Amino acid sequence: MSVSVPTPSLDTCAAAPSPATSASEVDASNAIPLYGIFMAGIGWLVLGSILGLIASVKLHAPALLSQFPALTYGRLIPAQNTIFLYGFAMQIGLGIAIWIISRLGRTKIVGSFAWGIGALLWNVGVFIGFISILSGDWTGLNRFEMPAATATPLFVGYLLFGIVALLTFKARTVRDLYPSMWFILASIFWFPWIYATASYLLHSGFLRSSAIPVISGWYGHNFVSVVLLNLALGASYYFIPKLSHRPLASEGLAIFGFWSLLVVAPFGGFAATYAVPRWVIGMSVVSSVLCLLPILAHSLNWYQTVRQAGKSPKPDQGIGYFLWAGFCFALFGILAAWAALPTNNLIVGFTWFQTGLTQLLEYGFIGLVLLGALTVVVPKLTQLDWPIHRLVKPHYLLTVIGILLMTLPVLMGGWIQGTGLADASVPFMVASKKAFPWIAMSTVGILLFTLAQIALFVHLVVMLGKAFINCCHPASWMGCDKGGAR
Amino acid sequence: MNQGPLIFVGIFFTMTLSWYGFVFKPTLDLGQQAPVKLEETSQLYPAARPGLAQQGAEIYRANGCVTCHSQQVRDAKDGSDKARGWGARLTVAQDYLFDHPPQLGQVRIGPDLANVSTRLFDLKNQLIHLYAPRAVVKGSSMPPYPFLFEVRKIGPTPSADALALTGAYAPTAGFEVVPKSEAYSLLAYLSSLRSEVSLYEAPIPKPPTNAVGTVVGTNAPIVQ
Repeated sequence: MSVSVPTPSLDTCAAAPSPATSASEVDASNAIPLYGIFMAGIGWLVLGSILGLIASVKLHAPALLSQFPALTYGRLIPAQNTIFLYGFAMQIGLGIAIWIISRLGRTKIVGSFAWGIGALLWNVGVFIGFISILSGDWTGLNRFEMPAATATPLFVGYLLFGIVALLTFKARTVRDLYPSMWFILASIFWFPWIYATASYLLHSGFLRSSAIPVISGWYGHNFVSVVLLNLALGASYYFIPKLSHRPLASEGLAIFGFWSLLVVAPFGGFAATYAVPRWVIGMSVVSSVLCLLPILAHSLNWYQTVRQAGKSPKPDQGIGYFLWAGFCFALFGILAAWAALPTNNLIVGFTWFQTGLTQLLEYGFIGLVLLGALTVVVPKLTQLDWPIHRLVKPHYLLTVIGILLMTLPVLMGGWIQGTGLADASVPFMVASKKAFPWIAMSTVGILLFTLAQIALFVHLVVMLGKAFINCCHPASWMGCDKGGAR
Repeated sequence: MNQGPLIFVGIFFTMTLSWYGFVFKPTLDLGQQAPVKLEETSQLYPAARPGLAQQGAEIYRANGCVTCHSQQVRDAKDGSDKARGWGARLTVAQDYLFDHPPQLGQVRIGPDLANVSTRLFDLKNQLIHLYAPRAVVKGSSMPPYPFLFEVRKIGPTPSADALALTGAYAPTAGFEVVPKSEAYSLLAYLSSLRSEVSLYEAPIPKPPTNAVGTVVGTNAPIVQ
């Protein structure tokens, strides 16, 4: 059975009057609250990428900048991680999510003001966290790096986001639930639960230390592999049919993928950890292997969608981001399942391979989908084309090539390092050094990725300026701005 | 799937399942853990770290040493850790009962440190290693930590604590490099990293001996 994304009438300045809000009106009403968080999110991404670039260069020249404690490798990496996950992925992911909710439900965002306050609090939280990590006040826990002081602004900020999203969801005038909505709803419900649990147990300090790795690992895995992943899945299910101008190939596969991922994925995250109870590790190995099913179901669904009905109509340009993201997603599923098996973990455990896998999911799938979605949504918000055409394609190419270079050589290097480490007669240094030529390739990848995101940020600023002139310049007051469409 | 409430109930159910499995149950099981009495020495294990080492743990956490160094030893069947001399047995939850937070780590850009104190033979050398890793390990990719040290003018009498640096790593003439208290506490922490005791859940196999077992039921002397 195939379903199609409800297609609104194409954006025109004076849309024909209709009982439901038109798409362009929806976009126009959402422009200000969404543009703000898109700018902030890309700003964080640029900053995080620059930190990652410095860290990566330092691997080859460890003495570089070593006199600054804030720029030591062990602080740059958690700072980059936090900024990417909380500043960029969560923020842009929620922005895209509410845009999809309001677009599919054909309604304006309910409570833009609360949304703005939420965004402000969230960014304040990330900023405090970022400064704290660089000054050494971080938790030491992966993906839960920010100190206790950030918990309140982040949680209250998120609650405002979540309430606005649910109110907007409730106010929808189109009652049908397109698959994207399920994924987004799952994310929105999941995050406060895991974040409240983790904050309470890990920040309060009364939890016995022997339980900390399990709780923090559970949180970190659920945050990325359920919350952020579902935001990215929701966006993929919306944009792939939309940009390829074809109906979704199978709703059944989407249902299967949705539920099986929700049941199986939350038990992952410990396949490459050893000092936790055996049953936790065992369940994670099973989870990583079983996750292959929903991952392949989703990837296949998108592939079938794009493939069907021959070559016409031609898909829009932005589809490239999503196709490469789908490729990274499928590859991640296969490699994660492979690496989880104890015989393979013997080789790739504790190596760069683990870093490569994480980045394949975080940058290759989640990051790429969100960037692709952003490049489609922003022109709709401002109702203007991207002003600098020469930047559109280079951003796509540099981002994709950058991400592939950031991940694939790291996986390869990790595997080579692991084969050396598995043999105790090979000295540690010798085995480690074998990975470094591959790691150098990933440094180039991060450089390309960073350049692309700087270009995107500049582009957003130029776009904002242009939209401002269009909307607020006296000359435009005579033009068509009904319903704040400009 | 057009039923909002049904989807909500489903999501809530899956979430609860994972919460029960990986939060509620581990908190009940591991949250009760306490030091155990060792069979051989009757001492409690683990013991809380001495104050200086505790401060060192904070330096370790703040500078993100966990980004490159793990603190978990794998079983012989899972990797070469034992063969590399990184530990005599698998690391278990009991080992990090007093670490807040435990710094297990995920990637080994540097070697595992779960039992590093058993390999720290020369503490002065280890301080040099923190100040300038490449002065000790050729081609090391560990960053130097000069901010844990103070470069100062040599006073009337040179400091006894000054690092014995040579070649490219030596300070300019008339100056000496002296560890700050942070460097000493980090060193104290590293010296406290040791988990080579036999536990019920992670026994260390006793080395085979040539002794002939006691013959039960006779008073005959044991023949060596």
